[in-house]
Amino acid sequence: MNNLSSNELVLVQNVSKFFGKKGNIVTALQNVTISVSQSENLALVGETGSGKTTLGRITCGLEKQSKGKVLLLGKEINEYKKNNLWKVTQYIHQDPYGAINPLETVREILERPLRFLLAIKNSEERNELLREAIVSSGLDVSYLDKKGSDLSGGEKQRILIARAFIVKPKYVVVDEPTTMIDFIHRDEIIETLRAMGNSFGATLLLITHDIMVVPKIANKVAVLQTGKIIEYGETMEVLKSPYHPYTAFLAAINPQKLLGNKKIMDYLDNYGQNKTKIIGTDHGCSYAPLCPLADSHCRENVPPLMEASSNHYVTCFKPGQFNF
Amino acid sequence: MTGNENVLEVRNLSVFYSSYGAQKKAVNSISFNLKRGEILGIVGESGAGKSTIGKAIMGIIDPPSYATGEIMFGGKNIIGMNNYRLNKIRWNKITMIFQASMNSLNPVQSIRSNFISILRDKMGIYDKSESEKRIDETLANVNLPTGVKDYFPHEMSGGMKQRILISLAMITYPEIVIADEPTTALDVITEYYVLSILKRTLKASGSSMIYITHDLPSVVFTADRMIVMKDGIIVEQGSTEDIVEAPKDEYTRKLVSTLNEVKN
Repeated sequence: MNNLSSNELVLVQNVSKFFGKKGNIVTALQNVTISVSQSENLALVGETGSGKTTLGRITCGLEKQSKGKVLLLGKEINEYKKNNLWKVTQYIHQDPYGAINPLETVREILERPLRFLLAIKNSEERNELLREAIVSSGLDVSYLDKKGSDLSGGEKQRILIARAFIVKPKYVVVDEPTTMIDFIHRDEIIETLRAMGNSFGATLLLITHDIMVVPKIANKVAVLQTGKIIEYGETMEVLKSPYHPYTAFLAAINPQKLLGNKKIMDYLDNYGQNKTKIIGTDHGCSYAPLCPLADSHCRENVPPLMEASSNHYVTCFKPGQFNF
Repeated sequence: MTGNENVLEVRNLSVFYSSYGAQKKAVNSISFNLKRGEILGIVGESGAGKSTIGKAIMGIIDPPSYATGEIMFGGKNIIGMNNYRLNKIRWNKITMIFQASMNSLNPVQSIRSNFISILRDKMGIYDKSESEKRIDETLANVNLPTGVKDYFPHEMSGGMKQRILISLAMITYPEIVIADEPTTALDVITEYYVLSILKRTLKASGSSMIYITHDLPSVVFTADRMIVMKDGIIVEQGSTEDIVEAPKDEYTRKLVSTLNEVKN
């Protein structure tokens, strides 16, 4: 993961992020190293507070890291001028209801980046780009004259996607695109994102807690917990043979595995009794209080992120030994 | 455990919503039974009519919208019942866990006073030690420390609030609990943790539950039997195992297959 290759888009090196003031510091990320390669979509999975959104926002310059280095196309991200940065990277917000001005028409919303960011003076050219973006987001051209308030949640989401891709960025961070949508339409939004990433030549970073959508869009997945990457690898490889017990739980959330599975109930019981202990563990594996396999070695030594099999990394001394 | 006796019988239920003179049939002549001690899942996409069924059972479909058919509970039809009679059933024999956990608790009311108002108004329990005892007992059932009684909603996490809502619904020892998307705002592990608690509490108390959601895996985890709805009608109903392993209907097959892609 540390090797710089030529098609590296984003490189995050030993990044930590702290929030709060002296005396009351919250650690959102602890010494995270990860890279995103061109045309290889990455998904960040984790529960609330695991640091996935913070990491996503740091990689597109919306948040500044407290420690460490972030390179975007080989250049330190903090050295970019804002205008140049937004031509290369875009961020799609989680809440479509809050991210779209209800009083503006779709045309006004989508035209703004073209006028001010790309400075396209020719209105014919702008119209061409507008049409291209709106059609590939799955809506038809008549939507350009609708107001933000006339759109449904799914349509707002599509406009947000179109607005991000219209500047032809190289790298797009998508924060929880499916939380507001029911799961029949979830696949359609994910498919739109994937297709637009392909046709506009952008690499996606998907932030989600819903592991079911990951294989539909991302080639690589990183699982985060309490500000650390606990597992990283090829999506199918990670989902089929998860090494970390927490990933094993996430991968077990599908109908076939849930059916009458006693082990899941036991795991959840154990989680309820010990969940407060995983925050603030100073030594040993931070997951040990919840882990069914933890022994004294796990409680005393912190497992580093190690390569358990080729290109499949995990912070666990007993990779793959626990499964549902 | 699941008995053979029906606690609730729904026959030819239709619900019509009207707004600005236009009428829409949200639920179209559906029938099903709920057995004692059973967890029945209702799955479907937005607009399938699943939440409407919950509302009809609670008797909270307000005019000009109306329901027709029969919802038989304790030998009486809930549809057409007046408010005085409904209030004897509502939040006493039939309770509900609402969708928006974050907004369902009054921000200026402590958790204790939420419980006490239910115990007084619905159960007629005014005795302080008796009500404290009952509150402690229900809180213990959802794995919360008794200290949370003095908390206000903003002092608690989403998962805790959700468990408070479950215990508010369970404190009257209801015969039926209706849970409408009780875990939408929670992340995966908290969601399944809350569901495991809900399931355990129900099985211990012998109450039945109607679990309404669009999330199929969570129904498979929670429910004994399930109903799949689309556009106001039931497309398939049966035991959870049967539906997951051998879905008969086209739409159900689509639902199950989208979720099993990982496996293959």
